[in-house]
Amino acid sequence: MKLSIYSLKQVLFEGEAESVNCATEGGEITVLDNHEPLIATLTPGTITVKDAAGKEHFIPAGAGFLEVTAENATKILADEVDTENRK
Amino acid sequence: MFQFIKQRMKGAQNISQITKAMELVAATKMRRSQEIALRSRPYAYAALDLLRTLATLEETDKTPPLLQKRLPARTAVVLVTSDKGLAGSFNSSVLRRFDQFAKKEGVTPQNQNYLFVAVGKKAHAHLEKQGFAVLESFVRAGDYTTPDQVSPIASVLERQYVAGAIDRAIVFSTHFRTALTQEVIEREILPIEPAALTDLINEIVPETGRFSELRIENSELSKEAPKSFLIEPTPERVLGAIASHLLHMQVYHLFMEANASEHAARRMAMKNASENATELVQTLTITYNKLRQAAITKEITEIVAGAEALKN
Repeated sequence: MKLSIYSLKQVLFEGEAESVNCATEGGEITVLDNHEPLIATLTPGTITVKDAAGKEHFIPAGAGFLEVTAENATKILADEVDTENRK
Repeated sequence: MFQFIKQRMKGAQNISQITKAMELVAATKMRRSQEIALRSRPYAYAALDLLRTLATLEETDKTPPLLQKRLPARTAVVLVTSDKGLAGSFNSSVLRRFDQFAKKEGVTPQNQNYLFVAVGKKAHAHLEKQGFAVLESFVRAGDYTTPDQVSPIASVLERQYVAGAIDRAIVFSTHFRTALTQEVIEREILPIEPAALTDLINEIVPETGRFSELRIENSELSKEAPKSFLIEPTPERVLGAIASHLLHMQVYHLFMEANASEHAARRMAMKNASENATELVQTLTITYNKLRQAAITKEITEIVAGAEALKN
């Protein structure tokens, strides 16, 4: 599926992905290919992306939104988390 | 006389060096702010898209408060200026525009229907001088504000609006049209109007010059109407959350744009200053040389006259 993860400051991920795992308000979910169209709100946590090559990316994120469209495209809007200042 | 002119020449030269340096710094900073502002466009488009999807999808009877329109009785006025001066008419034009607005709408410190938010020291000082009570001010933020830094301002507006303390919010800020022209725009950011938001996002791209090529690919927004969506947790909650995010995003954009404009204005101001200084140095050099030549000629005539007198 086509996955794009955007934050206000930059594009965090864009490209083909096998699966994406993130924490939503209703619990942690994993979106795979041809998922049912879905809109959900995200809670702060790590977004785990498995790209087409099977490599895993971990992206820290604050609140945000997840949108899965019928065209097999997934969009995530996430607030950027300042990882350096939060120790 | 020589010493005096020489001193002035030195002074003008030093000033031109400083203004030249400031011009270069401002040019770099302007480009950087523009880049940062443009980088948030994918997010903005996706957020707007999501809002439109939600709006067409579900006929919810509960519109989130941020999207509700009310009769404007109480207004929040946000003035966006810079902390530092030496930026030409950047600050004064924002403040002038506000004064015009205040005159027209009858805004006085006694009028309880207006609340003020100052961004930048210049706006804060201006409001204080006129006796307006500043609800919130946002100063010393520096360049390249991050979304985190901006969120207090957006949150204040959001809280006041939801609580019913304000019915609309107007922002006076500078719109970056091109690197050479900026203009002051009065924008209503609350209640949230999706059409106005779309315009705002499109306007981030300058009309000409660097980055203007991005203007063409704006068609991303048009997609066919979606079918059924599973919405978690509830459409109202998602709509409310996205409205809040859109407000934050909008405020962030306005700040970034004002920041880019500030640097552009400063660049132009400093460019003019350097040119004037160079011109001044030139005139002074000519005066200096003329004076020196006159003195030399005078001395030679005196020597020659003295020698002639001895000969006889």
